[in-house]
Amino acid sequence: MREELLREVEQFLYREARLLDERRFHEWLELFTDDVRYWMVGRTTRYPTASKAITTMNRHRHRETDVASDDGDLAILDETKATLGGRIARLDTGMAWAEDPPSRTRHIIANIEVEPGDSASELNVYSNFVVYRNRSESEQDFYVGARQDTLRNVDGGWKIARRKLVLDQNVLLAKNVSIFF
Amino acid sequence: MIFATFDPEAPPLPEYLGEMTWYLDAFFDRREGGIEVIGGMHRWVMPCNWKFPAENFGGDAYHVQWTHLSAIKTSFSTGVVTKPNATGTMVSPGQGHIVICVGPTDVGDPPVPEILAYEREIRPEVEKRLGSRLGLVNPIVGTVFPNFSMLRATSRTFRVWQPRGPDKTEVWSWFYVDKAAPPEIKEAVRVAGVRGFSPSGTFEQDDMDNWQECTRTCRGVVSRRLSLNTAMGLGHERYDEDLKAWASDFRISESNHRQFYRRWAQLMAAESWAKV
Repeated sequence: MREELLREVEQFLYREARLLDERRFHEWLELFTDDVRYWMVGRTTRYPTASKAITTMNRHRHRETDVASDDGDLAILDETKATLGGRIARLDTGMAWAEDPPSRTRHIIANIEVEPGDSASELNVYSNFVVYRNRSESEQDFYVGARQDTLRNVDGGWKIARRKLVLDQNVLLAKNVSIFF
Repeated sequence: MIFATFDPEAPPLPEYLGEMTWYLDAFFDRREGGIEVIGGMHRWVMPCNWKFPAENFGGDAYHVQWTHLSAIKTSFSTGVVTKPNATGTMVSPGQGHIVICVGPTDVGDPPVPEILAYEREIRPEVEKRLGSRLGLVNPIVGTVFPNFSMLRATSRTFRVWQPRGPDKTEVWSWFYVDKAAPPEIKEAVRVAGVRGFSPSGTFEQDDMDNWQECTRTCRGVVSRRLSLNTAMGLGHERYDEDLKAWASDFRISESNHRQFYRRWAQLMAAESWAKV
């Protein structure tokens, strides 16, 4: 990967993070393609197949991965561009109580890797996130995890065509997910 | 679905549920084959007392138009009626179990076109299985005393509110669907649940903020000196022979709150099941 391209992707992701922290959600939504799938999967707690801690199991049926599957399992978020837009419209109603008063967020994006995508106009981009959320007087939460993005070049600019979020928690320790990632 | 207890003196399940069994069937036994759970579960921790979600699911019909108006207006593309209907009733089949029912012809399902079409299609089978009581009420959300709740109106979920101390509750939430439903309906229910009734749900996230603030407010010095007021609709409720349950005259009432907390107070004060 060319150094220049890596810098371009980094700047794109940092700017995106700033839009979220400044609550510029309508501008943020414009960063997505119309066909985007944006979803967040959770983790489970599982024994490795080789574990001696469990004595009875069907090894052929055992699923070692602790990341929920992309289809069929419950996700924490599973959105289209239209439903992301619906969430933003909800915030604009003046009656979205979970964000009234709004959360103070800080999105830290790191460990950015850029790889060629499935087509010439696409890139696969990996990154990690640490999102701090503070609200009201003393509420605070950390949301930590990984992102797997597909960026697509549309008319000379980058758009997010796919975003998979993997949250590093089994039991979600925050009371809700009312912010974006 | 398996119910269990560590209490050797507890009454047998059919006795404990009583007439609530019909209302459970109205959620879980609508089609031949019953239900199945959609992959996995949601678990998360809410900073609230477990009784707030339990009473909310079984009695709080009046929070919807204020708490959830933002989601009602923006979460669904079609078919949403924001005007509150006058039909429906709060129902308690006894022993603290509580159910919110809309009118028999009111929509009690997620306003997603394919789910509504599916429900129309299976209606004859559902009527046949559930009998004439379904012509009187449409149960959409409720609580099996004390902390098991279920909901049909914005998704298909049942959950357990696990107390983790006086001001903390861990939610164990599942989505379910008729086993006989076609794959596209199962997927529509999964997606409606994730988007509406989950930790990120456009409906549910506002509930959690309410319950947190209710819990905080109740701990205040002044609020501890006062009694909880659940007098709404007092005197406008009666035992309904056809519903086989206590029922409020009007859809908006705290009659179910009274049933729930009366049972709670009774069990908290009783030395043994024999004295309940």
